[in-house]
Parts: sequence; C-alpha cells; structure tokens
Amino acid sequence: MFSRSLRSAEIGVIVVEELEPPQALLLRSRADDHVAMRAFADALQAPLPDPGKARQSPVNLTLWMAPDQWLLLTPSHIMEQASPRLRTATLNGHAAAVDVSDALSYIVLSGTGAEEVLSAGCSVDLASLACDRVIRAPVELADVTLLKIKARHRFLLIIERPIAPYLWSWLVDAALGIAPRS
Amino acid sequence: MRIAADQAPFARIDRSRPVRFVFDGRSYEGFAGDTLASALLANDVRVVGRSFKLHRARGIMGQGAEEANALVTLGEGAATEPNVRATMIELTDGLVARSVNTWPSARVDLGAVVGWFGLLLPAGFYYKTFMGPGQGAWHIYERFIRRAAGLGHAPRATDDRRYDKRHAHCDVLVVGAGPAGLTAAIAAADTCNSVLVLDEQTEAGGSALGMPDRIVGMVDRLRSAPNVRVLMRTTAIGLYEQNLVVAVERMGDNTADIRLSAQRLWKIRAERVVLATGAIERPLVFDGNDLPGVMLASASATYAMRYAVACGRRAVLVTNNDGIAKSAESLRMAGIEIAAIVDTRPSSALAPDGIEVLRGHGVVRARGRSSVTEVEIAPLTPDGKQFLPRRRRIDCDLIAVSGGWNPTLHLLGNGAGRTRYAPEIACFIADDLSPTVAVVGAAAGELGEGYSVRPAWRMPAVGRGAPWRQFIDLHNDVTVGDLALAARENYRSVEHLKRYTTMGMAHDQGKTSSVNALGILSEAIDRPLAALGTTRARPPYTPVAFAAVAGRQIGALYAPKRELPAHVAHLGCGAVFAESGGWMRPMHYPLAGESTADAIRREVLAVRNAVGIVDNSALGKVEIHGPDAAILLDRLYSNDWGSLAVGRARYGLMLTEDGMVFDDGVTARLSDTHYLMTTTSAGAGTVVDWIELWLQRAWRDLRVFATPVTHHWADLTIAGPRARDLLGRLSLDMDLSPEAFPHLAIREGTVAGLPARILRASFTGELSFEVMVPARSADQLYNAVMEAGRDLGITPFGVDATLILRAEKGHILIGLEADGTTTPDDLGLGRLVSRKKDFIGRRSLTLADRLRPDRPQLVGLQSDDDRVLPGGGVVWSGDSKLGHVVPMSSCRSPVLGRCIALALIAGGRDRIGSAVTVTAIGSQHRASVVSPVFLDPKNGRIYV
Repeated sequence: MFSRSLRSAEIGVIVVEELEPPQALLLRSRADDHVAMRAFADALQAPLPDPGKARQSPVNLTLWMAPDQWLLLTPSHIMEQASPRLRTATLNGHAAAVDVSDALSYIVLSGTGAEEVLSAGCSVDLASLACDRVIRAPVELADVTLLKIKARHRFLLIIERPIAPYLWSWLVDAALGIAPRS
Repeated sequence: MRIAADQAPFARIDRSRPVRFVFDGRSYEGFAGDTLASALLANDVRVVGRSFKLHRARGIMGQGAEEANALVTLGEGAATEPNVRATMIELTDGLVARSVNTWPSARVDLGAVVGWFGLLLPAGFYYKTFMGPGQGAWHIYERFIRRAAGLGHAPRATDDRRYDKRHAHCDVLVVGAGPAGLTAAIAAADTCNSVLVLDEQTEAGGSALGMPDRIVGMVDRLRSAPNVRVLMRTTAIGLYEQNLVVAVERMGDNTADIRLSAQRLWKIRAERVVLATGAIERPLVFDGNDLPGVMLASASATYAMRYAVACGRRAVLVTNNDGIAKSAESLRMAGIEIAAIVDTRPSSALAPDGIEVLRGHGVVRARGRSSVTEVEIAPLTPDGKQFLPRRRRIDCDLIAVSGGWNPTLHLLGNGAGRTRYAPEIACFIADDLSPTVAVVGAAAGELGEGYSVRPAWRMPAVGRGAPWRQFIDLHNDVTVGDLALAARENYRSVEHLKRYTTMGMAHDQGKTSSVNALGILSEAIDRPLAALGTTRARPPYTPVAFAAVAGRQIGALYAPKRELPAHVAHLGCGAVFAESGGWMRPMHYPLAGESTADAIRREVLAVRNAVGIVDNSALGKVEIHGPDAAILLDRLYSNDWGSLAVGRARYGLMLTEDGMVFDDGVTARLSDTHYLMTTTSAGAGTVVDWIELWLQRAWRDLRVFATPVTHHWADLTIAGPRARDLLGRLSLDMDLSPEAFPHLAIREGTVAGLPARILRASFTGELSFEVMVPARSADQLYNAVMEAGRDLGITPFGVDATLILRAEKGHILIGLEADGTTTPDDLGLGRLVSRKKDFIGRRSLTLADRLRPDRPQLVGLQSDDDRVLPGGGVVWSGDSKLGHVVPMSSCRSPVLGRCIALALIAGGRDRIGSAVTVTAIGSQHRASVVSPVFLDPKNGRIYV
C-alpha cells in the first residue's frame, strides 16, 4: 500500500525511510457490536485484527489502534472501491469510517540495531515484541503507533503528520549514536 | 609511591602503558588502569582538595564512590565537568584536572584563612548569625553568602559531547559485579532468559580485584553466557517503583566524536533486582582525623593490591573490628611497614603475625602539618569513654582506619525496602524487602566469617577544642562539636540533625559519615541507635551530570515543533514565526523595511477594509459520528444542540464539573448523525481526552464516536468585506449568497479543485469563511487564494493581527486568557447556558460562589491617557483591587484609533462608565470601563 519513498537516510546499517502516505480510514466500532464488526469484515473481506495486532493483505494493512479503533491503510485506487462498502457498513450498525489520510505520516526503520535505535527513546521491550504486533508508545517526545514487521529489525512507525519532522530527526540522530558499533 | 611489580603481582595497571596527566597545572605520569586518585597517590600528591566550609587541607580517604575529599574539576573548556571524585576517574592520556574550592591550588589555598575562625562557625551559625540586626538584613548578607556558596564552576560554553539514553529490559538485574554479584549473576544465567549486570568499576571483580583467586573464571564464564550482558563503568543511581533502575554509564568522557556518547542514562525494567552493592568501610572519628594521610584501611589496601600504590611508607592501623586483618595483610604484602594495629576493643581475636596489636587503645590525635607524621595513642577505659594515662607517639605517614562496615543499601531508599540496625555487626542491614528485590553478599551484612566488631563512634576528646577537630562529615566540616551542639539545642530527629548541621548533605550523601553521626547522636541523647533510624537515602546514589539527564533532548530535538500544513506558503509570504499553542504560527508578515507594528496595523486594516487570509489549521477538529451525537453535544456544551439543522453551525461553551469554562468552538452538523466540532488550538488534545473520558466511564450507553481530525484538515480562513468576492473566484461548486450560505452554516463541495468543507463563522468580526481542505493540499489552496485575491488586496495576516481584531470584537481566548476560573456569565455569555437540559457543570453554576455579584466579569477598558495598557496589569478602583487586564488583549486599535483592552474585574458590568487605574511594575495608567464589544455591536459586518 506504500507506493514510494519520500526520503531516506542510511546511517551505518540503519535505514530510515519516510513513505508516501496511502489512503487511511479510521474505522470505529465497539468490538462487541457484532453487526458493525461483521459489516466491516464483509467490506474488507477479512475480520478486523484482534487487539494489539495488524493484518496485512495484498491490498491493505489494518492495524488495531484502540479497543474501538482500527486504521485501514490502502492505495487510493483500492480505497475508491472499498470506501462505498465501508461507508455502507457504518449504516448497518453503530460504526464510523473517518478519513485521516492527510493526518498521518509513515516512517520505516530497518537494519540490525533498529531495536537499539528505538530503545534510545522507547520504554517498550521491543526485543520480545512479536511480529505483526502493534503498540502505541512514546518514542522520546513523539506518540507513535509502532508495528513490528515480519522481517527482522524492521519497524513501521505511524505518527501525526506535524510531528514527523521531529521523529525523523530524532531517529537519524539516534541511529548516528549506534553507528560506530554497527 | 608506586610498588614494585613483585610486591603487587595481581595489580590491574599496565606498566607498559604510561599515561600523562595534569593536576593543578603540574604534569604527572601514571599507568593505564589507574584512577586519577591512584595516580596522584603514586606521585605522592597528598593534598588534593579543601573542605567546603573551613578550607582545611584534605587528602584522598577512599577508593570509590564513598570518597568525601578528592573532588576535582575534570577537563577544560566546554567539556569541563565540575565536582567529580578523583577515585571514579579512569586515567586517560592528556587528562586535565584541578582541585575545587581552592585558590591558587590545593596545597596553597588562601581560603584556608577561614579555618582560623572555625570555632565561630559551628552548626547553625548561618541561621543564628544572619537574622539580625533587622528586617532586610538578610538581603545584605545573601549577596556575600551566595558568592561563597557552591563548589566548582559550570562551563559557560556548550558541551558538544553526546549524552544519550537507553531503555532496557531483563529478567534479572544484578547491581554490582564483585564476588557476590558475579555469583548471583552466574546462578541467574542458568535459569533466566536475560541477565544484566552493572558495575561502576572499569572491570568486574569488585573487592577481589588485585586478589584474583576469589573470582577465577567467574568473569569469563559470565561473559561467555549468551543471555548475560555486562555493563561496566555503569552506576545504578536509583531504584524506583516496579523495579525501574536508572543507571549512568560513563562511556568516553574525553571523546569529541559526536557519534560516541560521553555518558548514557539507562532506564532498566527488571523482573527481579539483586543488589550486590557491597559495603563501605566506616572511618573512625578522632582529633585530626581529616589530615591527609588518614584514610580507610580497605582503601589503602586496594591501592596497594589493585593499583600497586603505597599510600605511605609506615602505617598505623586503627580499628574496632577483625576485618582489618585483610587490609593489614595486603599492606604488608606490598612492603608497607605496619608500625602497630590500634584496636579499641579490650580483647579481640586479632593476631596478625609479627605485628604489634595494641588492644584497648585509641587515637588521641593525629599529628602533622600538611599530612600525617605521627599518631598519638593511649589506652582506653573499659567503656571506651576516656583515655588513661601512658600516651605514646608513633611515627607514621599513613593512618589506616576501620570503624566497621556499612552495607551499601542506598538504592532501597525509594521504597524497595527498609533498613534496621543489626547490633551484632554494628550497622544497618536490609529489612522488609520488596519480594522482587534481593540483597546478597556484604550488602546483606555478610562481612566475613567470624567478623566481630565493637562500636566506636568516636574517640574521647582531650582538651576543649578537640571535639571541633574530630571530623564526622569530612567534606562539609561537620564535627563532633557540631553534633553535640545540635543535641544540646534539642535536635533529636536524625532528619533535623542532618539539615541543621549539613551532615551527609555533600556530594557523598554521608556514605562514610551518617552512621557515625547516628551513633554519636544516640550517645548524646541517650536513645538506642535502633530507635533513631537513619536518614533517607534518595536518588541519585552518586552525582549525575545534568547533560546525562537531558540526553539528546537539546537543540533542535528539545521539543517537537509542529508546522502548519501551509508552512511553506507562509514562508513564501515572509512570515515571522513564533510558537503558539504548540505550533509554529505566523505572527505577522512584514514587508521589506516595514516595522512589526506597521505590519500588524496594515494586516488589521486589510481585514477590516478588504480581505485577509489567516491559517487556523491549529484549531482542534473532531468528527462526531452516531445517532446519539446530539445528545453527546447537549451534555458537553452548556447550550442546546438538538435543534441544530443539517448544514448549520453553532458556537458552544464547554464547562468542567465546577461550572468553569474550559473550551469553546463552533460545531457544525454535516448530516443527521455526523457533526464537525472545532475546539481551541491549545485544547485540541484535551477536549478529545475529555470526551473519551465521559464516553468510556459515564456514558457508555451513548452510540457515538468522537474522532480527532485536526491534522487531516487544513483550515484557511478568508476574512473581510471582500471575502465572498474572493472565494467566488475559486471554482466553487456551491452558492455563496447570504441566503444560500448564511452566517454559521457549513457546506461541503470543492474549492479550487480540492475537496473542501467551508464553515461560515467569524472570530474577527468580519464576514469570514473557514475553508478546510486535506492538509497536504493546504499550500495549493493558499497559493490559489493569494493569486485570486491579488486585485482585491488579499493580505496574509497572523496571530498578532488576529489578537487585535478579536479584542475589538470583545472575544476572550478560552484556555489562555479565561484560564478555568470564569463562568459563562463572567464572560458575558450567560445566554449560552440552557435552563432546559442537563450538562457538565450545570449544578455548579447554582453555587453561591458562582452567583456572587463581585465575580470577575469581562469588560472593555479604554485608556484615558492614550497609552497602551499593560497586559496582565492590575486594575484598581481607588485602593480596591478589582482584577486584571486580559494579557494579550491590550492594543492600539488601528480602526478605532485608541488604546483598548479587555479586563476581568469584580462586578465589571456594573462598573461600565466608571474610571479605574491600571498598574504594572513601573507604570500607572488611567482608563475607563466600557463594553467589551468595541466594534460593530450589532454584528452588521458579519451578517452580510
């Protein structure tokens, strides 16, 4: 769902890359609202992921964000097809689908030592975090949604757009701090 | 003096690697593996510093974190670090250090003249002396006291070295890599997934370094374990709730390479914590015990065995316990002559071969000018309270003392456990530990097989002045005389005693002084030591550089600076930015050569007379979805929402439970079940949290979701009498006529080819359209507006002009100027309080306090002497203080041509028409109270 890179930086073996934002919808429903949850599942052709998890398909990535929130990321042409179904889904129960495409930025951090870079400002035990797990935690002064991607030492960081320049600078600086030993 | 290699065969220095360093301007040589302290001792530098109060000459007395005397300033220029213990500084080539609190040097210090008046400066002199002769005298003294206070000097230049942080997690954290810590870590490695070991020394081994047979193979075994990580040069400075341990790693204090950290602050979460922090030897207190050459026996042994340094040629050992035997053996191995062991106990099992043991003896005084040259001893009465005749003098240049051992338990001070007095070993040991914290080794009071001690908190004093030369806290010059005085003045609590005498308040936090002081107080007030307790040891365990705490949160990384979506377009228009509400916002847009004041005035006039554009993207935006959305709004806001038609908008006030206004904004209805709420910029996050709090905890029955979309939508507001004309030029697919698009309405469509929501609402008092487009299109829309409005006089205006425009209309900034202490009625918005429904804060509005006639009420002020009134200035009526000028509202109105302001003053509305005085520091103004709405009270400019 990420079509291209907006910018990237290589510091030793660490790569920091900002991606072009895909279309993004915040899906809202109570997890125990079976009508709404089923409607979303029908629209996406897959159930919404369980708490703390993400689900990736060839055309979209869905992340659990909170007990009643999921973030759907998908390319714009796919979103054009899915949007009507999703909005219809919101009519079938107590649910909402809110466009947040311009609200978020996406940074991928990868390379051996990526965990150590994040550990400079994130108190979560990233080494024991399973792949496809989603957490929301501060990275230094930025509130980040963090997804551990299946490939080792690779993280997707989702952040409010205005904070992205700060997070980018912070990651590059933190990577610089571990570069001599990489 | 350096010991020959064969006499210290296990020393950890590398004699093949000489290291040059400079102390107090003189060059010396040491070896790799030395500390600054060991290298200074090897070079026979006896005086390394001066005490804080009396500037008495002081030598090195310890070998680690307990060092009370040897504080130095490390480094030069920007990398200067003041007040570092020489015992903790790893010697590196080119190292530069100088003593602190000395001038011109530690050996010759002019400040020592203060010591002549030592008897005039007892505990509490500060409080007793500087109270008189009358009120205000303190301010005279303060200047001199502040100049004399403090140690060392912080560098003025920026320290460019890198300080950073790391978070870490482990199953077991072992603090201390001495024999007990290594044993614990090896055991943990066999059963746990991850073990982390910290030690402040440069290599593992602790007290066994220099005597390696105790730890043979242990270090290698630990390092080869894949689940063990060892951090050397790392001091645990605090143990907090849920086993959060904070530690500082000294990585390369001397590096100038920005990629290498000088120090690193670790925040470690451990399932279990093992404290293997060892024990610190106590000094003995006697007349002259602060002379250079008096030092802890274990320290002198460590210097001999680990660093191959003889701290003297002829030593007298003084003790009250059997532990001294090990130190004596080490010193003798190193070739240091031991003249005698003075044992305060009448009987003991101490019997080292070939060394005279003087049982039942004590030290009358240590003698010497700048360092020890002899010690005077005498037999003690059986209770140890008096000396008997038959004094004897022994020539020596080293007095190695051991008053027993204190387990190092400072990390328990934050709640992980307590301590209790263990009389059998005369020290405080761990008690009531957290179930996930363990203490092992000497820290647990395991001080060696058959360890025996008899407390000897102080030697008897001979002569009236002797108690003032018996030093307890070496750094702060706290003596037995001070403690006795404090006890006479009824300071019976150890915490009070500490603060009154400053005992234990130096950089070492009483590591070698506290227990002796407690023992002496216990005897002085005849209260058991166990009942006295100890002072609380608070983090940090050792001093920490502020830079380590700050880490990388400096410079550009100090805090995120949020830029507006049209930031680039603002730059193109010459905006001057400042942080406001957490955003970098354009304050004004000066033209070439234009002053700030002229720019602001031009922008205000453009909005009043033509058209302007302002970026309001920072305003909070929340989408409310659900069939119960109107009910939610009714409960959140003080006014009614049920009647709001689709496509219309309404201004609302949000109150807290106490009836005070906490946020405001315009909310528009987009469909039957869909609203767009706007909030203040500063309140954007708070309001969302507030809504979630109520939805999740109190109103779970409501079928509604509130989703923040502040960052998705840019909000560019076009304001002014020509706003409609300008907007009409932007390829709209909607009717802008007043009939089709009235004030307080919202429309969705496209503008300049962009999907948009347009809200007609006004903060400036002019016809205004807030055009919201997806944030990444903000620059595109901004540039399109500027292009389309060129001939209409389109003018970008910033925060400064907005503040004037809204002041002219009598709008107060909720959250900034109305700071949670005003009700709707106070702000003249009582009409927005519904009497037909319930809402948050309603009941509080009926409290007597909320109905007081003298509550602060929003009014306007008009300067009577044509001067801008001071923002925040105090408003007076005669001698009665009425309130204050609303801080950012005071201005000279370009349209009205006079100076105006908003104010919150007691019973303000009834005072309209009266005269008041406004004061601020250095100024006084005359003003008249007027209506807060200075311009267009009937809103004719808005409803067009």
